Amino acid sequence: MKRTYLAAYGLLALCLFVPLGIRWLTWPTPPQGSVDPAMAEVGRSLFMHDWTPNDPLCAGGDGLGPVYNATSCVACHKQGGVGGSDGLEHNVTVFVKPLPLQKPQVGVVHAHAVKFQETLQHVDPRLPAESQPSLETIRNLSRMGRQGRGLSLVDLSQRNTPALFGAGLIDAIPESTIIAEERAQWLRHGGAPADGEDRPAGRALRLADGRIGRFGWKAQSASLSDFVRAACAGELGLGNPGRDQPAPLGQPDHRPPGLDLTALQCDQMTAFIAALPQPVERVRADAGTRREVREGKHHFQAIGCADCHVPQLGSVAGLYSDLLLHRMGRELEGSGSYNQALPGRPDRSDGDTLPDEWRTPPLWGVADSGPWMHDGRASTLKEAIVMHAGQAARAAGRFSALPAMAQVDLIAFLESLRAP
Amino acid sequence: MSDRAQPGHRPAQEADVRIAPIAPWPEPATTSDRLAAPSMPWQEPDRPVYRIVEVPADDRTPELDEDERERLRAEAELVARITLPRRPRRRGLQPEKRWYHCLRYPWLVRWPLLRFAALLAVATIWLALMMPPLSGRPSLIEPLLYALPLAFMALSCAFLQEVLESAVAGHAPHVPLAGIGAYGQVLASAGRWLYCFLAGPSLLIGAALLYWVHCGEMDSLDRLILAELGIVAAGYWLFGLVAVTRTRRLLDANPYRVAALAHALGYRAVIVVVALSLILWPHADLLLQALAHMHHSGLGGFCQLTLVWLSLLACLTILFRLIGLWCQRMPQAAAVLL
Repeated sequence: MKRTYLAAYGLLALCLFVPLGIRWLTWPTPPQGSVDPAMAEVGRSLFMHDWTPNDPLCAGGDGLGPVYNATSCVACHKQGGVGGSDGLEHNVTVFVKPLPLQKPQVGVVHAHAVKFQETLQHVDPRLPAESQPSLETIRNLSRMGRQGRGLSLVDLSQRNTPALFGAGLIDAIPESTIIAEERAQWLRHGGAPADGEDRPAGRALRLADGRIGRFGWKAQSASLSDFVRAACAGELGLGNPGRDQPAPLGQPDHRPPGLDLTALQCDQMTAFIAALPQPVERVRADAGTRREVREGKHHFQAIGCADCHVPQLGSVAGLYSDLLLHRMGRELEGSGSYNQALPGRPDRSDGDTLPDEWRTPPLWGVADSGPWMHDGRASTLKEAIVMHAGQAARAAGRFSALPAMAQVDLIAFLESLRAP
Repeated sequence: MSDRAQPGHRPAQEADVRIAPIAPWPEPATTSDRLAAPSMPWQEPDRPVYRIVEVPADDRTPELDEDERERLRAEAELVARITLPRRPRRRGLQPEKRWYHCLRYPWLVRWPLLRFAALLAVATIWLALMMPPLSGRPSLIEPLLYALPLAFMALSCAFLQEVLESAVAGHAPHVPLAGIGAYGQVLASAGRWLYCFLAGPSLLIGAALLYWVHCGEMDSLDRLILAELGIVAAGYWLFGLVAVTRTRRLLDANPYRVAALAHALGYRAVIVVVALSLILWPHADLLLQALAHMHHSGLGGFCQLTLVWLSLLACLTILFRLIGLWCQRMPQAAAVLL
């Protein structure tokens, strides 16, 4: 009997400690990657390169196009330095067109083309024949559609150019850190569901391949490499091993002769972007400004902005983002992104997101990345804060209820977050 | 005989009959005999308490004539028919003889269970809505706001504690009335539960929470680790509560006594821990779903929460009753509790 008990206790101890031991031995360590300077230098030249049709740098493809939004990366990413954001003139028009008995068609109306110019009418004949609609036009069409007064059911929205500073640091954040923030928010907000609107509990976007999205307005890209490849294909029409170039809307059967960029070129461009410096907090030396920024930072935490714009995520300090999706209210709805699956190719569509779900944009460098919000509709920081709705409605309300001086202090704090 | 014979009273020397009490039941030799034996004489209504004993001839009083002797005999026969008054037999008040008899206990205490389930649902909603502090700065009023849901939880703990205590003491199942007016008992029970939680399970639960937050996407190994931590924490908490129940000494909730109690219970300890895990895990999942539902629909979420708490409390009362009776009836376990 004693031996039986000893055997039972031994088995119990084994069952308890072996899984813990296995997990301890297999606990993932964060990658210690560093950027190759030579790769980054070549990547810089690719980033600055002005692409043309049949470009000599494109080994097997057709070069720029057939449809594109700009001729170089730096044409859009230039505000505050190479790799920054841009104004409204380079907004990308995105559409989601419901189809009967099928998944909706998601795509981009490109501003330029080599041969086959796209317009809104290619998406729906009832839309105006504009290839570079203004933000106001898109917002009016969208508003009319929501109110049932529109002629078309197509969901139109625009995307403003994001800044790329510090992207390498974001890329290095382990997925477990993003998931940990998701779970911590869930605990902090009393088990509130992420699809609710009363508590700012965000969710990590799990893509179709199981990875966690972190780049893009809808967190549609899991890594910087994926993001760069999607942008090269979507914005410049440069097909690459990670992403095919889009076919013109009026020519769905168009096939390129080959890939424009090689994997090495994509990696070089990724290395350059990963090497971009991190934005900084820059405060003037005078005591008054310092006090304003200090008070503004305190209000930023107190009214709940830091619930989503988390100051530090993992080892990345000063990010002011949790990289999670949050519901931002009906007025800020906008579906769609680059990642349209081409017919005949494996479906590489991203995870499902609600129209009003947006990834918390990092606020580092926010002072130099105006205009603000996903389509640049806010021309001032104060306007951007007041536009927050949905899960951020309470924080926006508390901001509006702050005394005028406190609001000034908070804006002063945000204006201290500058591009490098 | 000048005075009437009283039960148990030795009659006067001159009587030639005596009324003697019948010998009590023999002491049961085994536990099953003890359980089979009736507890009180009135539960055998037809069994006489007294018998007539004929006095031997040489002990008889010679002065009595035949008529007097006949009268005394008639009186003695009348007295011999005396039995103690029969109490009405009440169903459900006997201590359980089989483990499955414990399953009927929640029906007995259904109304208190429903009350406590509703209180716990209110407490859960209150705590969920209170997180995080809306003001962003600690204030004096927040501890008071947390006091009410904690008071509701303390009442429920006191109820379950009394279920456990009555089972450990071997009492027949009854409706615990403590927790309604005995505030000192409520506080003591709640303090005991809190101490038993802090004495060991809190570390395990904290470790499990930390692990869950930081482990990333969970695979089967992560789920196994979390399940093990939860099971060990729940089992330690339960055995710690049992260990302090009889002695009321908080220091008895130490790992040695908990392990000794589990060892004394033998395979029953495994049954209890497995049953507790099977009760807690699905109810925790249902609670979280109900909490999420509550954020969408207040009334629907409240009803769902009440039902889940009712089910959980019912299962816990069965389990507490069962483990208490096992601890009371097993000599080794009873020795650990002393």
